[in-house]
Amino acid sequence: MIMQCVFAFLAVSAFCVLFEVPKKLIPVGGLMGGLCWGIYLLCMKYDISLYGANFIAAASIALIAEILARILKQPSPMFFVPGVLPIVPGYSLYYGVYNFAVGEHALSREYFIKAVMISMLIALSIFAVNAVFRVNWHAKPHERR
Amino acid sequence: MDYRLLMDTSILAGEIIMENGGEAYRAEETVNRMLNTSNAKHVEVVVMGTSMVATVSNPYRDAITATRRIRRRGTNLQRIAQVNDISREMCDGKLSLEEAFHQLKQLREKTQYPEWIRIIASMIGVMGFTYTFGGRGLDLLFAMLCGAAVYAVQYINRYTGLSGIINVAMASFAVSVVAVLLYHLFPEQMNPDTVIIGGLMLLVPGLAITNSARDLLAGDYVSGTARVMEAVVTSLAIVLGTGLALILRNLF
Repeated sequence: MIMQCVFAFLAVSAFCVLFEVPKKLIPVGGLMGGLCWGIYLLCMKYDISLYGANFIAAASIALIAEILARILKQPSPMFFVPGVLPIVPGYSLYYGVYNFAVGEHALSREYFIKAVMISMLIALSIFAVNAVFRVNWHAKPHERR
Repeated sequence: MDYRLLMDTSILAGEIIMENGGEAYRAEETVNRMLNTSNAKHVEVVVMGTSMVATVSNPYRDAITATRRIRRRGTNLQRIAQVNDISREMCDGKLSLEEAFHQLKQLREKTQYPEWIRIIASMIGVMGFTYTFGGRGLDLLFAMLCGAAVYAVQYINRYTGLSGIINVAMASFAVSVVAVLLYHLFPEQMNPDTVIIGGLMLLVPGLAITNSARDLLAGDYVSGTARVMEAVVTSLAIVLGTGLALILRNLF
């Protein structure tokens, strides 16, 4: 499992180069990716459902990304986009196509639905975390929106 | 204050954000903040996924409007951060308008990493994801080849000028074909599935998914749904490319 996280770190660091993340922040982005995969694997190990695991991993990454963005004074996608990469549904998408190609249409549909669900869960986790961070705590009640 | 230059500068900032994978609300906020330094009576910025309009008007003066269509779409997080910094500094008065315009112009042309580093990065990236999805041994080596194949397709398409969707379809087709061919050469030592999944991670629309969520949350439904469609269409392109290769494999 630790090896998997190391490779996720490596992969995400490499993707950071493709996303043109500044040099100093590449290790941070890589760590976010490794952490995301680690949380996902931990959740799977403790028998949390596939969707639960994806949500927890994405939500923790979103939370850490928002905090890091405030500490390091960078826009939060800088950390969030690389961090969430390992759980973006490439796996389900591929097996959807694969099963379609070999004629297993029922199975293929199941994988495609999985891919859509996971994408929606990633979006949902951002909703949940950002909603907390977007509250303007210093505003007077009537100024809040 | 030179209204026209201010307008050019601010809309350029917004354009850079949108072209490089920023969220629409970020572009809107940035342009708004910059235009508001003019203390104009009326400032309005509308960003709609693939286009943007900004207007500044004052009583007893002609209104200035600028419109931009966003054609290029890529991911360059460094540029977004830089635009943020430049606009902040300009609004705080630490940077003159001319200087800000100049810096933004330069920023648009600059890439950080040379070509060969990007090739190696895409090879390592695919290799790493192949490992996390269960590839071992020779798979890792072949995954690097697939990464190079994706990069080659994207490099060629920079000159053919084909649209992003066809680019993605071709790249995913290339990944699958390379993996399937290698599987025919080394049927025992290799698992083509993990290699293809690793390669597809380069193309999967992660940024579109995250950005659509953030735009929708900010109440920007037009840009948000545009991004959702981008994610859907990109996924369909991946399905098309990979599916074609797999069906061809089953035929022969």
